[in-house]
Amino acid sequence: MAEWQLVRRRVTRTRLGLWLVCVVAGAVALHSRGGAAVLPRLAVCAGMLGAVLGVAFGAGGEVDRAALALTLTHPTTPAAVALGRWLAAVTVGVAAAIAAVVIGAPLVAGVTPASALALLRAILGGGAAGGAAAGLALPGVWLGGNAVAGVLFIYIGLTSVLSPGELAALRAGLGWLPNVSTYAGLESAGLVPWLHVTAWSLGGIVMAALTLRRVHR
Amino acid sequence: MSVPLLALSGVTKRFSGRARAIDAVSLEVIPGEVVGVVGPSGAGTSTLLRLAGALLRPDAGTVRLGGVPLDRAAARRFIGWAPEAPVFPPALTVSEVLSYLAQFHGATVARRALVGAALEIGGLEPVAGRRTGLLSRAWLHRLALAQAALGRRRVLLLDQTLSSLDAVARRTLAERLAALAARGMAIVIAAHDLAVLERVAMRVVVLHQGAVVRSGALATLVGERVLEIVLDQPPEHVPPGFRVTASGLETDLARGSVEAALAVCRAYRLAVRASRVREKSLEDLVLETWDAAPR
Repeated sequence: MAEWQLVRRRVTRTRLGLWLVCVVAGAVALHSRGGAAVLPRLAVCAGMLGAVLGVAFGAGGEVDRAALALTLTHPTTPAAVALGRWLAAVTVGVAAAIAAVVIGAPLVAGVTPASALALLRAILGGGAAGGAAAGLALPGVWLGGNAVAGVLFIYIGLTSVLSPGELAALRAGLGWLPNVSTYAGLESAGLVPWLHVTAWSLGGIVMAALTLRRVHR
Repeated sequence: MSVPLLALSGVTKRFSGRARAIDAVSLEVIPGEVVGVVGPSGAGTSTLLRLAGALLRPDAGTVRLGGVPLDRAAARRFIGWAPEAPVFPPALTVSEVLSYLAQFHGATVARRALVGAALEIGGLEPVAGRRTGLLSRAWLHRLALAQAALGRRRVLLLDQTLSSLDAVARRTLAERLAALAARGMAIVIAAHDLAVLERVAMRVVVLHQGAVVRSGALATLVGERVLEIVLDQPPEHVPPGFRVTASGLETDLARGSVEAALAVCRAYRLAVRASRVREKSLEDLVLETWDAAPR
């Protein structure tokens, strides 16, 4: 958890905290009018956007990327650093998902305190989706900087607000990428979304570790 | 003779499309020794340090730590590196950066002690709570030194770490480096600021175009005397063995006397206004090497 220290401080010292508030507020505003069924979608949207922000603020900055060279002169490995940064970003995503669900649930019709299990499942789905988003974002920012995180943020934001018809067209082309529509089914324990999330999370960590090793060998 | 802690043997490094950056360099550093690596820009001092720290892989030759071929894992544990342009996460404070890096070296309890020791080595107590993004270059170099000394490091590789410091800070850090060396740490310093090395180094290696051109104990290399001669006007003909300076000429007194050198000046009808004898500096040594080297 050494890497979490890097991200934790940034919540209050940089604009990360403000961005997270905006993401949670935006997700709640967009998804709170669809009834209880939108809760998983709300959590996934907040979790993915939060994780991308965690990557951007914790690993994607130019100085942060340059500082990795010095980090890797200490007794650690590229794989450990990649895993740590991924975990830190996922933690940010989980925090965003929790905040979105806690704030959004009372606004969603049909959700009662008795739906605690539904809330937990939504948060779990949001956290897992955050893992996939971080898995895509982390090697991306280490290769291309925060511009990659920006593109991902917009992509995830867009896929969370598109209409079903537009989404179907998008999924035909970009369904293999992490997206809110696919991961909204995580909460109902569908196998395909979980495989999708696992592949992107593990693949992302491996790709990030390889990127780090190549850049700072 | 002590067993070398760090030993480079015939190390060669070539970057793609360029001549050899490092050409068959051999260097041994024993525990407690401070070695200075000097040379003009592009001589290969930084590359040599990176090879010694296993940050670059040599094309030929070997690097050994304690007699064992050096791998990356051992280098991370036992060799501290302070780069020429150190960069740290800007949102963290100095003590947070050290605490973050100390996590790789020890358990939570030991970490506080490691951070405290590192702050002391770098003389960083006054800025311990300041964010690294707000630090001046000199403080960043101190932090680079502090993080390099973290943990159970036995070798320190310092690339221009002391060069951008003010005189007081330089003296303080030089004393701390001497204390680290006294505890058995081997220290290799690359520096363009040669006055720093004259203060701390025991031995100096002069590089030119990636090859060692001079090497030896500092006292031996710079102990020679130089005669500086101030002339009324620039010389039309320079006597053999003399060098032109801004105020006149100078010559080494290795084999001759002051009287003999002044007699040569009279023979060349040079109007000598004044003269003085001084000890040769490290800068003289590097410039001599540069002047004598083929280009």
